[in-house]
Amino acid sequence: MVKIKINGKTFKAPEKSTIIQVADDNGIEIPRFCYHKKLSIAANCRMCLVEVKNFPKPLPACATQVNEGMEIFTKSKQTKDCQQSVMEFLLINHPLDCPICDQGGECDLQDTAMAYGSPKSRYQEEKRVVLNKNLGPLVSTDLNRCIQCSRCVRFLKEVGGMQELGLIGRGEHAEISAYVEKSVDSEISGNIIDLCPVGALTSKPFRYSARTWEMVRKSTISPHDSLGSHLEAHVKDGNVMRVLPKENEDINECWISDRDRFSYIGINSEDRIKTPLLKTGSNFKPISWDEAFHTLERVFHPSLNKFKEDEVAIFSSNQITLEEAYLLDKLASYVGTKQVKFDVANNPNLIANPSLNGMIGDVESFENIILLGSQLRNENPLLLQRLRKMGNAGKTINIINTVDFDLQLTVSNKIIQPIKDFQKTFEHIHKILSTKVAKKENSTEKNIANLLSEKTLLLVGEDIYTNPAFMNLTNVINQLIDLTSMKIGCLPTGSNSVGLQQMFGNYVNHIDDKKYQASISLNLELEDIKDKSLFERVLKKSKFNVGVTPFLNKNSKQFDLILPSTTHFENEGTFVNLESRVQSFSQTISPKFESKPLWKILRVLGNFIDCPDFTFESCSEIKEKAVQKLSKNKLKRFNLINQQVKHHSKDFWLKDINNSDALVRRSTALQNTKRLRSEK
Amino acid sequence: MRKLVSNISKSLSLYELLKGMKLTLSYFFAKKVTIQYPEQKTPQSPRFRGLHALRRYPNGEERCIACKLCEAVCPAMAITIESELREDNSRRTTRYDIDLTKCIFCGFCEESCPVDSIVETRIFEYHGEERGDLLYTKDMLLDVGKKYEKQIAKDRQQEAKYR
Amino acid sequence: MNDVIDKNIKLENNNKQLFNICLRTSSLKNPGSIKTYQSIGGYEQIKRILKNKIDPQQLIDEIKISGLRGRGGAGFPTGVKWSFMPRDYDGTKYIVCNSDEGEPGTFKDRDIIRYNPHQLIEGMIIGAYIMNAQVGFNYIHGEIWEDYVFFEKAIEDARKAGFLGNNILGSGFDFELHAVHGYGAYICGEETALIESIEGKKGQPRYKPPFPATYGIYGKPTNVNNTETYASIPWIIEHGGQEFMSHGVPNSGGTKIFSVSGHVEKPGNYEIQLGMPFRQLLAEAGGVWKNRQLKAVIPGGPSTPVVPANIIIDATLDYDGLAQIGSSVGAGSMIVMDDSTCMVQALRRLSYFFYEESCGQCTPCREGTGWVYRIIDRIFKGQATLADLDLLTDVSKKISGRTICALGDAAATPVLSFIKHFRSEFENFIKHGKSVN
Repeated sequence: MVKIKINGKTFKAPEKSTIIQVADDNGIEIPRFCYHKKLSIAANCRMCLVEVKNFPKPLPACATQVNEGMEIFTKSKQTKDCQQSVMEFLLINHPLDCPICDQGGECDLQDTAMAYGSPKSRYQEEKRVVLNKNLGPLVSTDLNRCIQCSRCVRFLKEVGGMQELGLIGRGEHAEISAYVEKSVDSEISGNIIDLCPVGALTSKPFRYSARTWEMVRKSTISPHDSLGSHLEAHVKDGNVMRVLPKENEDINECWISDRDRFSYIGINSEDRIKTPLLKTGSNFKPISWDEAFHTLERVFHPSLNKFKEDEVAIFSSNQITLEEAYLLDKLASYVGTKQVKFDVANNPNLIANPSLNGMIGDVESFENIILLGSQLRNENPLLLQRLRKMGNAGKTINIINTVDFDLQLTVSNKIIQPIKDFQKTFEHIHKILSTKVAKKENSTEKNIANLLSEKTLLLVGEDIYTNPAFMNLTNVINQLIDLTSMKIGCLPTGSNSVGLQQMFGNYVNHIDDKKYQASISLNLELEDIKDKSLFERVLKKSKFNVGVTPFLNKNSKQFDLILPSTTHFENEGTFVNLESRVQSFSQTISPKFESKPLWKILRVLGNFIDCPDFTFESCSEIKEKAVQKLSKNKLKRFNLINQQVKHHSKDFWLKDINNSDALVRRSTALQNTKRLRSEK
Repeated sequence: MRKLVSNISKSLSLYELLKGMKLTLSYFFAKKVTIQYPEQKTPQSPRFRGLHALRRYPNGEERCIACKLCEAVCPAMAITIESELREDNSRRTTRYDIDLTKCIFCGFCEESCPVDSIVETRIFEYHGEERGDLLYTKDMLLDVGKKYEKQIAKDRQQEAKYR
Repeated sequence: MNDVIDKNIKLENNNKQLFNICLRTSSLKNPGSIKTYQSIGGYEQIKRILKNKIDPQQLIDEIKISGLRGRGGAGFPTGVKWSFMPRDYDGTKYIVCNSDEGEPGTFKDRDIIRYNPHQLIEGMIIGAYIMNAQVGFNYIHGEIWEDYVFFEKAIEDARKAGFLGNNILGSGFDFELHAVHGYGAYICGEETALIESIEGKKGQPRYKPPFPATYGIYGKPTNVNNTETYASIPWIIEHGGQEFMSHGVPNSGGTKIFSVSGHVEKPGNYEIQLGMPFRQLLAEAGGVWKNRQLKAVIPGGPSTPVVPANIIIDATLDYDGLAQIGSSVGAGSMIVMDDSTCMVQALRRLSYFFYEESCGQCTPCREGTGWVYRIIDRIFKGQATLADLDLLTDVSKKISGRTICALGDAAATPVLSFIKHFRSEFENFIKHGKSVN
């Protein structure tokens, strides 16, 4: 710790921290444009120049480290002069048409100009004109407004992993540009919209549709991946206008993926189902909710229609909330079925409690990461971002996978092989370590073996730990854990995968390929399911199919009764993210048309068919019961829970980040982006 | 005693009444201060704040750029704006409503407008027969602007030096 | 002030004269070849050093005694700079020769490369030996392609003769030298921008600290020195620091090349003993041309302040002498202006140069240089008012000292000095819309 003085007041600051950090920590305002706490320091905007005693020139607060006894003045004459002059320089080439700028009202430049600028302009000459670039369907450019702070360039290079934007040209002709005829394709590119301190990069779908002060901010949790990013939905007149990240250092830091940011566009898709629909002949007839529930009562009420064991198949999305899962669990046992499936990959549960062992932030404390399987870039781009950060910090990232994905990070060792060879590889590693003979071997396996220690984290992707071939691996991995005390973790992909897994722990998570009396599909579309033909076969054979979904889709025709559920933003509930963190969220907008949240549909259904203990009045009541069923066990070793696996699909299922669920699929902006980039 | 006599004589001669009638008579011949509305009207200032209008540029392009400052500043929340990206990439309104039953005619909208689009005209004689009649939509406001553009432009010019 | 120049002026009490150290082969036949250089004792010093394994500290001390200062413009003592390089660093260290002279009026480095490249190479090998660097680069300005080709050949010759590569002269000392051809950006003459450029990035200065001595090329310790600095080293080692020192004056040891250009009869490179009076150098360059009178001199290149004739005429050309008259040696690119020069036009041209060459990284320089140029352009086109002169000074002051590198200061210096010394001329231009001439 060093002692420094800012404006005459003494502060204690950690060594090697910069002036701006100390000022921020202590609530002293220093204006800035190019500095961002998560990016490297550029010191090029010069807005944060401050006077420091015994220095002839003003120093940039963002790049100057504090020394013992340093005296800093943020309000002195020299500092103010610097701030005013930099502000003047920035504004000479910046258009002064805030009323038509989308950033108006939330613009750093506007605010800083009001606070630190001079009211009068002395510049009479013509302003610079920069042609706009087409960066793709997500980010809109207005490069006349650019102040060359280079935050976007640094973000894409350091956090995005690939430098897709650059500052080309010199001096006044310097401008932000993508590669010739290329768009910005990073799966977290939307963050440059938040980073841009001016209106140069704005959201294309949101463009000109609302002002910041008109919207109500509602917090929610991301439904698209297992990270559980904190989102802030901006609502106006009952519509989500845009989604921004809500800072949470433990989970998503200050970023969100494009999927989280732009999925809201799907809410008002033309496919939305307005009322319950009943199949009559080959057409659907709109009916009232009352009629719909009476129809369901006729099918599912035990007094009218007693099912034998396992005569009802239930398919569910892995994005349903904990509350919904709790109700579903009760309903399933009431109608006497264990044929429940919530894992869209259609793989059965093999191991107990697949989750990240420890917190997301703890991942960064490891020295070595071994990534076994996983399509991280398509499944969990923000977790990948953390690994990228580790790679940049000189830690080793090692990959063992079946497909060579371009993760855009520094990879130390890489083994690409079919999944059946994984066992051999791990046995080889085990042999190298257990025999302890310094064999003259120069293999990737040897390199990886040398890394294994308690500072090593083995992350297993969902593709792998749900694949039956993984059963042969658990033993050797457990031996390696005993030998090296390395840590393990799993990477489930659904927003509530962990919650569902713990809720349905005793279920096999499996559906037999046979004839059922009835089937129920919850918020699921054909594209969500890996084994599409099984799903279609079951629905074809089954006598009565109920589809609960917000959108009409390809397989809607197979349903006999369609109930309109809501999208994530109209629902409330709880998700358990991959680190087993229980996060609840409330409704951001009221349900569209006559759609109802899934938990309400399930609850009323329960009441109609006289399911016992089903008198819940609110979501929080259900939550109280539901969380009791969550297990507190940590993943230390891989414990097989299911020895006989009858059915599994062998082929690899390549996921597409922009085709991951119904809402994302209906977000027009996301659908226009380049897809399936990460295959090589 | 003398006072009593004086009072009685004043009362009998209707002195007070005549005194009052004299004042009445004097106004009868004096210059009139009232006017004969609606045949006659009082003079209006160019700053008069009457019915709202949306203006267009001489080339026919509407002035409003959907900055929503008027909506934000309106103390009665009488203005509702919805905006979008028009085909030519400009920022335009799709909806611009003023609820005249809410409006308090403070003139802030006019004051805040960066492009002199929303203005208050000299018109104060308007009515609605139904509740909805006083909800002025964008088209209605543009029509008002079209009809009175000459007067509006003249008033703005007169006021320009004070703004 | 115009009567001060006499071409045949007698110089009393002065023993300074032209003396070639860096350009010492220039008068010989076939000056750039390795043979010519070896014929005057070239490469003997590195042989001696490697043979006797002379302690680097001893050599640094010698350089410190010589009073050699960085010839690129900043004038930082070379011996001190070299001692900053971490000795016990475990890994590659780099030395870089900065031949990226891009300022108007500078042309000394190209002549060293053209006429005496091997002295530069030997200087760099000695530097590498002292700083224990393994790799060296010579960054050659983008607009002088022939010199780059020539220097590549010189490196090839030196390698063939065994002075470069692994295990030089059997001493176990490895040093590899590469020529790097720039792309003509002035900013790449700034040492950190040059490092970025060598790394293959866009030439933009880095924020200092960290200085190149701790974080240079690819994050490794790196030393950057001017061509002339390196070229002086072999001579210093050969003749001793004291001898070098005695050619100059205290605090400004040795010789310095002045690239005299502008309105003189014989423009060219003149290597002078530091401390020479300005009159004498002017006389050597043939005096002001066409029998005109001297008006002003920019002694060290456009980034140094202009000095009017009456002040410069009695000045001596050394670091302290020029500092006394409010200017500096800079890179020694002396621009002489006769009395027909329009100072407004001259400043307009100079400010256009800085406007064009700003890298665009920091705000004051990126926006300010363009603004400054436009104001001067407005003055030049007769569209300005007197208030614009104050605006010009104010804007320049607000650029100066507030940028990452020194280009901001360099862009402001001519504006401030021109207006300081020739304000009446600017006022006249504004009032009458034309030059005083």
